[in-house]
Amino acid sequence: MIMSRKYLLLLFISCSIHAIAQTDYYYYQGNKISLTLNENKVCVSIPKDCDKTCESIRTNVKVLTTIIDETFDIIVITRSDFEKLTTLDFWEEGAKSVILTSCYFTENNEEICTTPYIDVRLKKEEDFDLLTTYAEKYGLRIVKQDSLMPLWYILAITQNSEKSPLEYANELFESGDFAASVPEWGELGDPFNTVRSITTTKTNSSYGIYNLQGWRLESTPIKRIYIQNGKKRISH
Amino acid sequence: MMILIIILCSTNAIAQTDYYYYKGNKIPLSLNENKVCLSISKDRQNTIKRILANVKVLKKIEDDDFDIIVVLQSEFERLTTLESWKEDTKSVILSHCYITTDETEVYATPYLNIRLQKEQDIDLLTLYAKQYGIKIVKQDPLMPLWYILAVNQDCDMNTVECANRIWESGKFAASVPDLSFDDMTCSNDPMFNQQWGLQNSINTGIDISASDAWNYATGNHVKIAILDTGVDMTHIDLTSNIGNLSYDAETKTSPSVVYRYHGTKCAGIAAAVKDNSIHIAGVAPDAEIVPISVNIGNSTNNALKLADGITWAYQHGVDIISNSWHSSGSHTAIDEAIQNAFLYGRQGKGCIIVFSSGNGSSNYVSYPANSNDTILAVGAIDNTGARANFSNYGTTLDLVAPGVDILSTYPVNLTAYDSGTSMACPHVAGVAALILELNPELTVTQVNSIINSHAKKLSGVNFNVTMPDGSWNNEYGYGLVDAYSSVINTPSLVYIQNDTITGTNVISADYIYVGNDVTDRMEHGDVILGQGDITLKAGYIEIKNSTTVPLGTILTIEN
Repeated sequence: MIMSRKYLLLLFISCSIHAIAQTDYYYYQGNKISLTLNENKVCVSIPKDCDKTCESIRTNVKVLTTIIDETFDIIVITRSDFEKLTTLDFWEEGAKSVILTSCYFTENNEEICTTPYIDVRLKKEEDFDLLTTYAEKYGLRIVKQDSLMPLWYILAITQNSEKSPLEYANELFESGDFAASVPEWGELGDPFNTVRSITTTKTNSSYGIYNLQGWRLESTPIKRIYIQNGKKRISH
Repeated sequence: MMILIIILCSTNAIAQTDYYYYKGNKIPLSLNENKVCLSISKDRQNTIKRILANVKVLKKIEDDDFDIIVVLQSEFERLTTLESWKEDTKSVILSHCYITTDETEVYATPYLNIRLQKEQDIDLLTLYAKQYGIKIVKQDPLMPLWYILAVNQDCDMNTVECANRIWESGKFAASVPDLSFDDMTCSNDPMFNQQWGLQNSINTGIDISASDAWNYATGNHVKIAILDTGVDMTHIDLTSNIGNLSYDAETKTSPSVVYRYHGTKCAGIAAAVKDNSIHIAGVAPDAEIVPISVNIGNSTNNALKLADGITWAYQHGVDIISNSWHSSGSHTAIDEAIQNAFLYGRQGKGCIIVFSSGNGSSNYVSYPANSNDTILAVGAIDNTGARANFSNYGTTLDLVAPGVDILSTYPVNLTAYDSGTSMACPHVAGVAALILELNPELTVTQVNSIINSHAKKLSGVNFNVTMPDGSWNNEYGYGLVDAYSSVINTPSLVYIQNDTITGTNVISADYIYVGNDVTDRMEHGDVILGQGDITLKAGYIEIKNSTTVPLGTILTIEN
């Protein structure tokens, strides 16, 4: 009986992933931007109050990427690791709290993932009621309003949501009731435009020079007290 | 033989003048007997070729009119024994190399710089120039009381003697020989010579000409936001350029925090403190760094946080936003924040927003650098002037900047080398700060246009596409950002306050501000009616005879 329930759960998740894969675009400036499903990776979001589930998952998979969030432990893992998870005993209970989202390749072949979040921009302030209505209808939670760009709201899918954040984001935009609606992207590549590893450099004069707090200094400070070879010195 | 004797005598005569005047005091110069400086008019190409074929050039000084080279005295003497020298000597101006009291090597060029006591003294200067056989080369556009003069073959004194004689006349506010400094002397920062992007001693000219630009501006009163992973605000080479403004977009609070090293690197390139004998110099070494931190790539809702960072920056008076990051997924909130910064930043003049082009070696510029034409999208070159093999390029690329093996500040008072278009981006942000110091009233599109249209056209690159700001290339944009050319081509800011104007005045200016503030700006062709005939024409102001502007008594024009 237990095996059978596990199988059903796995099937459901597989179907769900398959369904997510059908939505292979998002809206940007009113245009559909293509996304190609990355079939080798999935994004797993575990509510922070589910410590045991989180621990069980982390001990059984290799985490490729961690995304820091206040509400969820969000990790990206390989699909094969995920499938292995679904065969473990804890998963039957743990799966109830886990939100699974997909990873994609962009048109420029860059790797991104979707998280449980969706960013929606109202057309005008008064449209907040409209957003509330949609949130209730789709089983979405309104997380917060952006303080500096107050027409923007962050929403999150919940256990009651039937579709992926990408699908909901698209449906909200297609409703025509909102100025913008975008799934929240998690970067899987390097978002910085730096290519080379760091070489920390030191000048000859700086070896063994420390400030009074113990930080090593790169060079002799100007008009400061510093420590060299264990002796306090004053530079002028 | 006779010519050689004359030259040696002349050289000897030059050596007698071993001081120059600074603030009225004689500053000693010790003759460097091992080197001489030769200046050959650029229209004497055959002479230049012959000389260059016979000597080893120790240093080349860039100039529009002359090929100026420093050679060993012994090589020069050998040159004078050649048959061709009889002809070549007519085209060569000889000057000395000196050692200053702080043991810096300097080279006298054919130029001297003279400051008039008042505008009307130009006639006096003309008179002296004629008397001494020197040529008035040009007036400094930004400091119009200063003139550049040059000695020529008719002059029987060298520039140091000339400058001293003119100062001793008592008729001028200052008179100084142009003493070209060695590369290192434009900054006392110990690692400055490793900053090839600012001054390239190996491949001359493949840099942003920062040291020349610093004679005009250093970024004073300009705020550069570093929207990144946070800046180490206690770093000894940054801290005095960091004011009270900073923000952490993760927590929506101030101050900013440090999530990773990346932002500290970018901040140092843009605005590390100069001449503090510590580490490096930034492109705009007196600009204020405004750190804005986001845990980029590591936290949820990054796009909105980055958009918040841009929004906070323009709402808090930031002038320039430097962005060395990209986002794999496009996001309308980022677009909106950028557009708002252009529309509302700097009291409607628009923030200057600089982005790195991305490191994918791809024929497209990354998002968001490619999302708005008013963004300055910056690619990277190495120290030979070649596009860095990782640097993205394509139709939305504006220009390139140094981005390979770039030394900058690193957290906990360290320094480090890095490569990437991340490193190129803050170079351009720094140049924008230099421009805005000179003219804070420029709009974002005007600043962009100055930077783009005065970029260096790298040799061997075919800039064969015509774009709004000049010739353009798919991999290099408008070329290599040029701080010096940008600042000297920045239109001056001219104020005419509530004043009475008498006489005819023609002032070089692109904009004119009338009144006690800068709210009433005239554009080309505008006429102030009822306040006399003041007309701003293309490039100058025409003020007709005996025009009176109400309420004032004195015409004040600030250039």
